[in-house]
Amino acid sequence: MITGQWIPLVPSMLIETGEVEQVLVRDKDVAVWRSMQGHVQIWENRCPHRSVRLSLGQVQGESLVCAYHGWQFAAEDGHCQRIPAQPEQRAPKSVCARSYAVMENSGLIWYGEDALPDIDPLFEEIQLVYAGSVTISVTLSQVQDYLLAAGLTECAMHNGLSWRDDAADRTLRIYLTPTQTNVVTVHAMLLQSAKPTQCHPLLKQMRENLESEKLSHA
Amino acid sequence: MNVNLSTLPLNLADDPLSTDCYSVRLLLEFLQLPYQSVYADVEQFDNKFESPVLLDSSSNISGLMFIFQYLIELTGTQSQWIPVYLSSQIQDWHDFNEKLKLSLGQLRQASLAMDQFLTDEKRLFKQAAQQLRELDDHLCEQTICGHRYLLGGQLTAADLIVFPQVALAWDAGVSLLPFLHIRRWINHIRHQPKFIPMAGLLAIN
Amino acid sequence: MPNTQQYSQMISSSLMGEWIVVASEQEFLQCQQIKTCLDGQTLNIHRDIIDGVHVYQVKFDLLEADMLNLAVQVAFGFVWLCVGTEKKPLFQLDEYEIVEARRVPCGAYGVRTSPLRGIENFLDMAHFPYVHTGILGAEPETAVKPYHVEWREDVDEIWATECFFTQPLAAPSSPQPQETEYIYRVASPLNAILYKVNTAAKGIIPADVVCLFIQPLSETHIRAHLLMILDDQTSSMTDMVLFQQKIFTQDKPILENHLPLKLPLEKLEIPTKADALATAYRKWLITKNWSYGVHKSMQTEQVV
Repeated sequence: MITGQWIPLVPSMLIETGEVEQVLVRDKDVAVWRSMQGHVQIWENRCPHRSVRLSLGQVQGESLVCAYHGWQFAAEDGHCQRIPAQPEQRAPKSVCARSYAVMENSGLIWYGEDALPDIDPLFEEIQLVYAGSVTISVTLSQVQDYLLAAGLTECAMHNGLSWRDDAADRTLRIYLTPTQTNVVTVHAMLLQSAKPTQCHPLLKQMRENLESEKLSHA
Repeated sequence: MNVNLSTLPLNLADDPLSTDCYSVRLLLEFLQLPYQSVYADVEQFDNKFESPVLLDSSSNISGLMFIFQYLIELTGTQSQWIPVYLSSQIQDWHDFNEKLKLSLGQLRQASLAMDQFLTDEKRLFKQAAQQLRELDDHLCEQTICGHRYLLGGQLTAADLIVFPQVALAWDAGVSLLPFLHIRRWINHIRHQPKFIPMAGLLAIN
Repeated sequence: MPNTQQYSQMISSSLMGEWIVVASEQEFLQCQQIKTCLDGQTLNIHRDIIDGVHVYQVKFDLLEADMLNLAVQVAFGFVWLCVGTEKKPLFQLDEYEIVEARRVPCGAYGVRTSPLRGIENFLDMAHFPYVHTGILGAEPETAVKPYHVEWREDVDEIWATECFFTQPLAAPSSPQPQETEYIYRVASPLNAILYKVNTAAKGIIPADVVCLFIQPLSETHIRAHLLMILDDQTSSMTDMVLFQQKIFTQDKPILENHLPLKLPLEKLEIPTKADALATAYRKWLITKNWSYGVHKSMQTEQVV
């Protein structure tokens, strides 16, 4: 049995109740949104009607409404509940937004793509606070090499996408979203909420170092 | 609200495609000040129609910052929109918007009717991307501190001044996809109750 | 790298023989020469006055003029270009000739989308309550009643008639929602016209006309030219232009957010009965073997 991997997508606090945002993961365009009751969804960013991005739409209760023709899709499974141009008719059962596996854990929203990955028993829930993100135009392995050289450790069972730095004064976690082939989004989370502002400058430095390194090799 | 009623409704020399005019209209909506727009005559090509300008019987007010200050003073809402302790930072953001006009603004102008050919597009794209990255970093830092807007938890003049050009970056051919914090900030502003859209921006229904 | 020039491939085969707008006459009010683009190729258009008549010369920057059979004509206030032998003559627009009617050119707009998406959006009513809220439509009047679609083979145009939609502000004087009747006409793959039937007893023309003529800059970037021919004798030109500009720019963010931007002609998207006209348009494109601006299933478009 193949266990799919969970990919850190975006920190939970960046998708508030009623919010929908476009996120890229592995060159795939997804719409991440949170219903009014707080349930997070990750959907293919494409309305089945005319392929307009669902991230332009509006959250209404437990549904996402497409901005183009007002088609309404249910949070639970993406099925279409309403087609305003045909108010008398039920929306056909086959019409739905394509949804992907999603999990919220440790202050992050995780993307499971198509296969529902097993939830790693070691995947404990920890209280983490958001400490910033940067988007860097380099490959995933270049970022991983950098983190390794900086003395961080890979977290087990997370396919090189979760890293930790257990130095005495801070307990930093770094999460990597493989945004595109040559673009990585790096998220920093902290165990102590004491000084979350100190991480972002380090992330910016990392971005600068990696991108200027890339330029010097060009 | 100590508004001099004889000044209302205000007359605004306006342009539906101008980002500065949009900043003024946004402020007018947030301040709930009635106004009428006066537009350039499409059939006149020689007249230089300046906008945004607040037209008044005694004197016209032009210049984005001057218009903002006038309207905010008119409604006595300085503490909300241009609080004293933030006034220099607001000026900085106004200057940032002026810098954006030289990159994003130029690219957008050329793209609106696709009737201009720019010779230094590459440089402008690079500049715009750099400036947007600065903005995204700033908004990220604000988010970490629990703030939604440029200068804290409330909208200030800074947000209304910078918002239009940035929100219309795709008009200029510059994608906001790498800038999640900018996109969130744009959505927060769009969801404000008194928000109005402009040409090229999706309304919230 | 050698500079290879493949003349026959420089303009997409679908565009060959099509009458395409390359400029509005308005663009020449302050200059005699303009530069523009067609399918990635730079064009220079020069205007002369010969015997009191405006004559336009169109030249491609990179292609030898004598390698191509170029035809130019002026019609409805626009400069039209045809590369290669015309598939059919330029369509007629009778209302344009009516002297008392108001001809309102509404400018050109750059939109980053496929020309086919641009046309399809123009032919759609179901989006009125959502994209043109409070103007062309509003909740709860969202129903699109069944309408009639036909392919008029003699002129090779697609027509949709008996299109009714309930509109909130059909006229400034009537606060009640009113039913507006539309007629849609697709004159060619890149040119569409809509007629808004006039309900007033007296009218100079039986319907107001709105035209969308698309100039493809590339398969995913267009210049949309708009023209109105109206019955209205009282509104100012500025008001009429700004009204149409407002409507068109409301569609812009939607047009720029299709994924894919190019139009899929295979079964990727799900039409409803309200999309009968769009479905006919797509079928028509298939019969023409049209490929320009069309999404091919194995392609993935650049996301950013």
